[in-house]
Amino acid sequence: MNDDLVTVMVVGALDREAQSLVEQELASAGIDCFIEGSVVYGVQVRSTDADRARQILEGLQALQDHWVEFPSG
Amino acid sequence: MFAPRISRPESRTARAANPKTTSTTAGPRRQTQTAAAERSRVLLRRIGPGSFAQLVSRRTADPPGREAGIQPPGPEEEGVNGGGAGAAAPVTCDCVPRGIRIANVQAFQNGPRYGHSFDVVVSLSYRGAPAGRVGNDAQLVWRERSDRPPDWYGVAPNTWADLFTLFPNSGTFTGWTRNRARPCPGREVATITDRPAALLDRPRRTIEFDISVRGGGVTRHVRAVQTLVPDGSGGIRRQSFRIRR
Repeated sequence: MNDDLVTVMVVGALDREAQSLVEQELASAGIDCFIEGSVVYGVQVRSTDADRARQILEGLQALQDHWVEFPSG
Repeated sequence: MFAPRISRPESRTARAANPKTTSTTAGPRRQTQTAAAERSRVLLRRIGPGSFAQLVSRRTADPPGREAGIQPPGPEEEGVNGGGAGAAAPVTCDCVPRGIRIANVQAFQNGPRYGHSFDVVVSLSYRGAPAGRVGNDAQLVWRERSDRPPDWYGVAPNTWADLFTLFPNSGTFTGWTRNRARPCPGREVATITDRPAALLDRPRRTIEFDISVRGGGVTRHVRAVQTLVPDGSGGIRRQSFRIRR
């Protein structure tokens, strides 16, 4: 059951456009992501993919007009 | 240890998806999330390392309030919880909740994600504040308690957390923070939509909701429980949402 997951970003629970963008972008990079939550959805990836996923998502211009937040640490 | 991170406003698409707030009396349309967001940042800074405290907000697109028909807050606006009491007007109002209920509960499955969408419908009245002080907005408290909270909440399982304090800019709260007309005096209905969901390949999850609105010495609240249980073979064993009386 994917216990080694790290949240690299959160998106609005109602913002399916952003969720889809993230899923597509990470999938194209070969990164599995797991998006779930309430009020906000966490974008979780395996810890081994976390750094690369953060880098990809922080540079994703298509998210420019969407509310997203990046937890760090 | 922590690099600056960014925060961006909800997309226009998402905003448009939640235009449900209705007003029965026309009034100055006014919004600000500044106070709530700032309070959230202060709280998050206090939480400390290893939690969601490390979120740092930097707006990269339109700040709240630039949507058509929504004015930025006045300089003297008090900015309580939902974004201020419209203090720029010579007469200001106290916001008092008249009722709150959960409606439009709908189960959904979207690929590997399943859950429910639901509305929290809040009836509000605005009445003139006593002479000598500005009106106070009502306070929304959106508490959730999950037996499988995400790591980024920074809370232990089965611990209550106020998600409105943590994420005031989430599109879920648009119906409270942005879409209210705040007729003064008058009445309106604010609708807040959430869409709690889990993945079929993750363990079961139960979330309790305890949502309240306080104002004018009155508190209204609703409670509900969502239970999502996968069957372990890619299907759903249980998908329930119960409103508690």
